[in-house]
Parts: sequence; C-alpha cells; structure tokens
Amino acid sequence: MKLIEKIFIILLFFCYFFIFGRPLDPEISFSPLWVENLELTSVNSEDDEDYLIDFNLDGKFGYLDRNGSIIFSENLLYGVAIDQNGFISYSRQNDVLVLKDRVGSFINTIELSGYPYFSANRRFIISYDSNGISEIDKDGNIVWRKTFSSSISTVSADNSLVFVGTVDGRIRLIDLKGEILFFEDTRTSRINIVYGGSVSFNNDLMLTVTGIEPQLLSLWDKSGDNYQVQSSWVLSNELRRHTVTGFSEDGLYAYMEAEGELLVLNLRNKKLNSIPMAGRLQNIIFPGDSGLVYIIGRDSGGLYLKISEPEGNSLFFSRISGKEAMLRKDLNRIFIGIDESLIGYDMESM
Amino acid sequence: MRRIFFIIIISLVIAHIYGFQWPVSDVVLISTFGESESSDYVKGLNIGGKVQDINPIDSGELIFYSHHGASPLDLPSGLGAYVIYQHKNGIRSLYGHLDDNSLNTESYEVSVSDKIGTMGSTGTAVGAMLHLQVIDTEFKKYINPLLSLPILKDTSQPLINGIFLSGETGRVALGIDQIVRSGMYNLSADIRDLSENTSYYCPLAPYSISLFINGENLANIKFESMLIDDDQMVLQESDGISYSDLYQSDWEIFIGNFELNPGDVMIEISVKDFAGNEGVKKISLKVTE
Repeated sequence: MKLIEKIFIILLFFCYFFIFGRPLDPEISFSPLWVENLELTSVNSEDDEDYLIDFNLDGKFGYLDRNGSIIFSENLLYGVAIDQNGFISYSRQNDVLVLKDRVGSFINTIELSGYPYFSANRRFIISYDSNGISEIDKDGNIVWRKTFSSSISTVSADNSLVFVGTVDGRIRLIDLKGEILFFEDTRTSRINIVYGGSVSFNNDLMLTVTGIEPQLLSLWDKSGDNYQVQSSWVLSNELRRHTVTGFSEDGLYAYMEAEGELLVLNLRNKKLNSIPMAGRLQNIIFPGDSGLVYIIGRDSGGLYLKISEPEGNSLFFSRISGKEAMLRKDLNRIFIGIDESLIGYDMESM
Repeated sequence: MRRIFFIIIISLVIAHIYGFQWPVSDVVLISTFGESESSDYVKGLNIGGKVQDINPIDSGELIFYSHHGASPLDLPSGLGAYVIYQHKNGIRSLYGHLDDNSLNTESYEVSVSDKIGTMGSTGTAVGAMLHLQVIDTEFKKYINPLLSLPILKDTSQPLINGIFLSGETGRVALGIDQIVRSGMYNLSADIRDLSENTSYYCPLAPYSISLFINGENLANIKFESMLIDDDQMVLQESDGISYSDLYQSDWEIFIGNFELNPGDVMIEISVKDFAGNEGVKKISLKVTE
C-alpha cells in the first residue's frame, strides 16, 4: 500500500470518528450491601438513627436502618401513610386515625374521617369523597382544613406550599397555616381540569398539567405574590388520569409522568426530554445534575427498574419479578424493596 | 291517532323533566343526598343490591378516571376506583366504588347504552355498590341526583320518630299535651325516609322538611343542592346550613330556632320524599310563664 493510500485511509477513519463518533454510554454498577428478609427478621426497636428507610411491601410496613436492621415492622391493615417520622396505619373505614412514631409508639389520635396521605414532610388527611383536605402537624393536631366544590385530583407538597388541584380546573397553593396564597381557575381548554402539579423547593416555579383539548404542561414563574405561565407545551397524548409531577432535588429539572414516557424539562434551556417509560410510575428518585433518574414503573409485563440520565439517555433497565417494589435513596446508597425482601446497594457510576 | 300523539307528547315531557337515566337497571337506594355519613353530607346517591353493569346517566365524555392503587404516588380515595364524565350544559357525573378491572378507559365518548364499569367494593365500600354524584360545574354545586333521574316507585311516608326542644332549661322530647316554659328554643326531629327496595331497614334522607308554628311556616329545609360556603359544604336552599349545624346525630335534624310565648302552641312538621309522599306530625304544647 502506498503511503498516500495509508494517509487517505487514516484520514477517512479520522473523519468518520469526527463526524459520527459519540461517547460511550456510562454504565451503572451495583454492589449489594445487605439483603433483609422482612418475613424472618425480628424487630430491633432501638431507634438512634437519623435516617431510616421506610418500607411498605407485601403486606408489611415499617423501618430499617442503613445497615438493614429492622427497627419496626407491622402487618398492613388496609393502607398506611408513612414517612421518616411516623405513620398512620388505617382500615377501610375509620372515624378516628392513630398517628404513631417510627418505633410504633402512640403519638396522637386524629378525629377525622378519611385516608392519610404523606408528601415529603407534610401530612394530610383526604376526606373519603375526595373533596376535603386537612393538614396535621407532627403531633397529630389538625392545623387546617379545606373543603372544595369538586374532587381533589392532585396534592403535592415538597416545601412550604401545598399544591391542590381539583377536577373543576382550579389550582390552589396553600401555606403552612392553611391560607390560600394563590388561586387560579384555569380556563385554557375545551374542558378544564387539573391532572397534576407541584411547586419547586424554593417556591419560585410551579409545574401544572391541565385541560383537555388542549392538554397543557405549563411552567409557572413566581412574580411577586402571583404565579404566571412562563412556558407551555401542548401534550399530544392526552391523559385522563392523575399524573405525577415534580422537581429534581437540585431544582434544575422538572418532570411529568406522561403517556408512555417521563417528560423531563431542563429548566435552564427549557428543553423537554423524554425518558421512555411504559405503564404507571410507582416510584421516582431524581437528584438532578448530581445524579441520575431512578424509576420503578409497572406496565402489563409487571414491574421494572429503570435508570436514566436526565436528558433521556437510558443506562439501566431490568424487569423485577415481584408483585410490589419500592425505591429509596440516601447519599450514595440505593434501597430496592421487592415483595418481602429489601436490598441495600452501594451505587457507583463509572 | 290522538292517543298516539298524546303518548308522544307525554314521553317528550317526561324526557325533558327526567333529563338523565338511572346508571343501573335494578336500583336499590342505600343512602341519599344530604344524608349523614362519616361526619359529612352524602353528596350523591349510594346504590346497592346485586353487582350490575353501569351506564352513564347521559351521553358524555370521560374526563377523569382513577384506578384503585394504580400507583402509590396517586392520592388515596374513599371512592376507590372511580370515573368522571362531562355532559352537556356543564353537568358532570361521578361513579365511585367501581370494580377496578371494569373501568372503560379506552373509549372516551360514551352514549347512555355504553357500559362504563361494574359495581365494585373499592374504597370505603364494604359490599358491591355505586356512588353517584351529579355536579353542576357552572354553578359549582352538587345536585341531588334524584331531581334529574326518573322517579322511583315509592309509596311509604317519611317517618318523624321524635321531636325535641332544646333551650335554657335543657332538652325535652315532645309528647302529647307537653308543658314547657316560655323562651327561646331549638327544635330538632328524628326524620327518616324509608327505602322500599331493600329487604332490610334502610333509612334515607327526605326531600324537604317544613316547620309550622301555629300555622305559620317558620323554617324549610330542602335537600336539593350543595355548595361551598366559607370552607364548608352547605345546603343551598336551606339558608346555607352546614352539616355540623344540621345534624345533631345521624338522624336528628335541626329544623329551626324560635321563641315560644305563653299560651297554646301547635307545632307541625311536614316531611316529603321525592315521590311526593308526605309524613306529618303535630304536637300541641302548653307554654307557661
């Protein structure tokens, strides 16, 4: 081969990699730390840990510490609302609810009819007919109560404001004392209805999914005491059910559980990315730029775990053989619960 | 020919008055609009009986559905699996406690002959039942579905089981020729309509309650519609009375507050149901100084 031909081939390779080259996808590796069988382990009721993993799996709920020791475990009656500080286990119908701490000690009774719903560090009771909401404090006292002329379709609270959307298309942001700080009667579509919404951690942004024809994903900006729509996207596959929305922990992304995908909005460049995701979202952990998006979903084929980059690049997908699954994350550890087993992993991205 | 014309006219009039159709073929009412349940008003009808397919009360469009437990991130609801349809003139209807696997979420547009689900026992339901609500979105209120559905056969009178006076001197259950002292009193009564479709004792809320003192109409309560006033659900046609003000207990209803002056007093309570049956109870009082 002549020198000129060799140079040409080298140049050709160089041009090919220059034009079509792309970085290799990063991979995820998991190192299992422990596996806990929730059926067998006896309860260790010493609670001296700040962070506990709350679980609700296969008819049992309770708490484990980071090392996988069960702090508290109890059989599920009908449902449970559980967070880092305590739980309310409830039956199908209750006139009185009982709040307990994370080792199962009694805190208070709550004389309300409804089902408890815990969101981040806030605790709510949703009335049975879904048109009333009450907030209770850490001691189980009723802080405020609101009744609406329509069923509540979505409630979310990540910080000091509670987002409440109702099926009549009305949005309310309620503060810690129960005052309605913002109210909007959305009138942008043929049928006005709220399917989802949430407020960012610093209360500066609000994300909503509203209406039929068009169905809009809207990003709202705080301006003084008001919120105004900054950008809107028309959703092509319209939903007719509640949709999960939220913001990444670092506040750089917002997301929405759309039909067949998780839509991820980069708040810096307002670009909407798609992470394919069949069925319904069961759990999501979204640290933001500092990490990846962890999803447990359920479709007709059952449960699955998916890990993606925020911009949509899929890194990991695996079917989960179980009836129920959950996902928790603390620092660089990820906790995956499948039926009666809880597995703690050290996670490193390489 | 005149007879056929007459039948057509009558049918059109009935169709106009009874705008909607029953969502099930075999209607067994187990609780009605305005009744007391879980410390609140019932905002629709609870229909029990055998497990049946459900049709919409009118043609419409599915605008919201909620599968029971589809995602742990969804709100829990005592309605269990439920659907909401949009109809003409801003009316919406809600169907709760459906069998989770029966929801028809594929076809959004439905006619009255389409099946939209099956009665189930999801949410707070302990047996197969349907919770039906009718909502007027223009006026932001819940409407008693019995106002717009075909009238059910009903021949029994509403019952007035007791009348009670509460005042400064305490509470008294009124009997024949009762003697009470003059003063301000709250009057309440144990009132129940009875369901004719159940084989067991199943009390229901009536349509209206009227109070007459010496022939003068002093108070009226109607279970027609509810709306929100000052964060509370109130009966619109009854001076906006809230649940906690109306219900003294599950069946004891506060009817009015009035002054009794010395002399003979005739208290009359008239209770009507949706079929027009009327129960009346009269009690004569002797009011002393």
